[in-house]
Amino acid sequence: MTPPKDSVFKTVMVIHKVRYQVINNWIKRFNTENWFSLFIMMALLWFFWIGGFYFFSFLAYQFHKIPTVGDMLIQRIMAFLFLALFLMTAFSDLITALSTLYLSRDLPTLHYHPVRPGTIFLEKFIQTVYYGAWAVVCFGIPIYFAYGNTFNAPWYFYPIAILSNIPFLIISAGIAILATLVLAYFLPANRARTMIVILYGFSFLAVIIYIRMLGGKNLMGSQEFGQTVEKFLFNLTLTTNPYIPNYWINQIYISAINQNLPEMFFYLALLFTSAGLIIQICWQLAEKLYYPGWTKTCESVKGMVAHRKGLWDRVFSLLFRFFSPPVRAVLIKDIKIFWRDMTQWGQFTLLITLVLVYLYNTRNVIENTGLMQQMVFNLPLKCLIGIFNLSLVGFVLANLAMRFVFTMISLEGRIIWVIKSSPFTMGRLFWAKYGLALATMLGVGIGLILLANHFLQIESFIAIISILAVICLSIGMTSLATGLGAMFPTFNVENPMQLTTGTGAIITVVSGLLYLLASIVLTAQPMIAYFFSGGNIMGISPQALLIPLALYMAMNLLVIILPIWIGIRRLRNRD
Amino acid sequence: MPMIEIDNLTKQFGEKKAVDALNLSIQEGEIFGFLGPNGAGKTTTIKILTGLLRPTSGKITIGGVDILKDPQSAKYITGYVPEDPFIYDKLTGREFLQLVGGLYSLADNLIEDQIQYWTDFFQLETYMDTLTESYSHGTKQKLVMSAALMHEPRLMIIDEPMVGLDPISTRKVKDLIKSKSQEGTTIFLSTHILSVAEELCDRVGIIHQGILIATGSPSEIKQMSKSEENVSLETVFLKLTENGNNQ
Repeated sequence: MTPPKDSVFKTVMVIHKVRYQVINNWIKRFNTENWFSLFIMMALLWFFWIGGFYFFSFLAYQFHKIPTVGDMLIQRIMAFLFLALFLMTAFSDLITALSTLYLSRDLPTLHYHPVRPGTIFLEKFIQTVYYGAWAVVCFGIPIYFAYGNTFNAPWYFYPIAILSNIPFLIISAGIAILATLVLAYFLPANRARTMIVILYGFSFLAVIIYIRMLGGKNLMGSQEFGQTVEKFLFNLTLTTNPYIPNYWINQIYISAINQNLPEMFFYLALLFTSAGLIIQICWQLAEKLYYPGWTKTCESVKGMVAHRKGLWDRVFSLLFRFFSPPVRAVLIKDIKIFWRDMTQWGQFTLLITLVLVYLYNTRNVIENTGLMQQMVFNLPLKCLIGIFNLSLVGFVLANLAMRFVFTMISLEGRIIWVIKSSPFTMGRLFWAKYGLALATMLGVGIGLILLANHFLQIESFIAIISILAVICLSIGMTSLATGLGAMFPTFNVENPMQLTTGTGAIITVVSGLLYLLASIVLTAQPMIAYFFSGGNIMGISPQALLIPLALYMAMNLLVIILPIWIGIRRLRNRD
Repeated sequence: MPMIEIDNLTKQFGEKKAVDALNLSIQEGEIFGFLGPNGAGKTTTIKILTGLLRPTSGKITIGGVDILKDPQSAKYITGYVPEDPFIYDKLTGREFLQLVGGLYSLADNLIEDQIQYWTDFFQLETYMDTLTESYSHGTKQKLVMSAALMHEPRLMIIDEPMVGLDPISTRKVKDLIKSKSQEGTTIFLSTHILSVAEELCDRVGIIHQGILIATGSPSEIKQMSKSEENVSLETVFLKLTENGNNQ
């Protein structure tokens, strides 16, 4: 008896239908609390979209005003943004692909049924693209729309702007999936850890080669800089290679704005056919490589061997000796799992590396060109760099909070019964996690801002303000993410990637970014006042310091206390 | 023609041989019990039979189909009940069965008929439209068993069939296994409960440290111990695996 010839598309849809049924079941069982959460999420998203739209419209308009090169500059910045998005998504998809294609808990159930591995692969491909793409599309919307608005784009610019993101993100995901597919096949069994290290190693190498090939010498700090910031940006050839997808998507935006329909459709077709091609290549390869690669990851007899009482055990025991034994046990367990589960920290490493590359390049720019003396938007560049450093460190902290801090309680997963059945209360669990997260966030945040200030020779007044702001941001972000993580815990997921796509996760990201934006705007006030007073602290008017400070304190109190209070209550009352 | 033909099957994890040169032939309609202590190689063998692992060497045919050459056809005639099955927590029992029916390309009306039949059989009516996250282990086991039976397989591979079942359900499952066997379905079951094997199986195989150390009907296995007449299968099992350890 042979199985009927199943249509691949039909079987993919049979499996994929599960995702919609899950959402449908989730909505069907909505209670008032769920509706309230959804309402908060939508309200925050709207607020973010509208706030982001005006913020980016304002920025774009400032560039637009620069004579001759202003518009070109916006296009270059957009091209650079697409390049960054392309690389970030590809990096993030490396881990997502490993998780969805090889480690997801539903895979054995799918594989022991008479479904071709290539079909399962295609369904997981869709999932990987979705996990990598939703945030890019969601958070890119205000930027794309602000871009269109600045240039009075025709109505079709807006749907095309969103539509073109789909093939663009499929291509970046496809490249990541291809790399994962090949490595999983060739590496020895049970080497997920090695695989991630190799994937990242290769990817970093690829990025460096990519940047070099595309005229990265400008980025890497050549002597040939122009005399103005505008010229420096204008000369960036990094994003103008016509053979790369970020160039194509940028051309779609430009031609839509210029109402050049033939060119717009040409690049749109280029993106879609390339996406189709990469899906086809991945699928053909998956028919050969996916199943053997997956069975290898299932072979778990030879696991990692840990020392019974290693050096780190002794260090942690010493470090946490002031805590009670249960808290100490939870803290040590969390650190060990974090260290051993590399899927958790891959993207974060990338982010830190990008920050270091930024610091290195900016330092070169400063040393080689004297650009720090330039004025941009009526502000000295060094003031802007101070604000930008703070934004960048804030963004790293927001990413850290979203990826790790928010998921800390949910990651207890099915093991939560160990905690619940022990005398260790959920409240203490919360505080143990909070303490660990806060120490990490403070360490990363302060370390980065000190490094940035030192590297870029930031003046001491700005440096002090930025350090204080980072301390506040670390505490605020930790409270927000831990509190929301406790409010929206998800203990049963077939794939840890799901934790970062739920209602709670979206609320955390949006509120975290809004908090970051508000913090930057409020912290920038005394910095700007300092420069307008000619670098004389005594010359700053009290209002310029006190009003932002009062607002800043009030906002932080709200962000720190409220999520923790609600989070602990929700966690305690949970069945 | 044997339903399962295992020829010189070896599975190696690094240096360790989980299954070592296993040879086994199981006939159509036979109930075969696969016994062995923890870590003996039972689950590895089952995972290879169901396509969840690939053998290091050896050949397996199911219903005459080589599972490495044509895994889809082999899986199409097999129903598998894992010991700790994964069920999507946010699906209802009915939706899960619809998914499985779709994976076997069953027609929609057949899927609905089968769902009705097995819902009645396992008395799952009250659970079918609630999310599986609220199910007890026994209810999950019944659901997974229904899923494995929906396409009327010629071979059932069941890992620990009685775990989590109440006495009534246990009886029902035992009767089901017997009746399926009489209809010609081959049953390959792995169990720790030796009384179940003794009661149900036409033949049992004892695997220890990856090697099949004994096969035969329960009475033949008992004779192998060369001890008193009314000895239980458990005593023989302990004796055989103990000898294995000593060797």
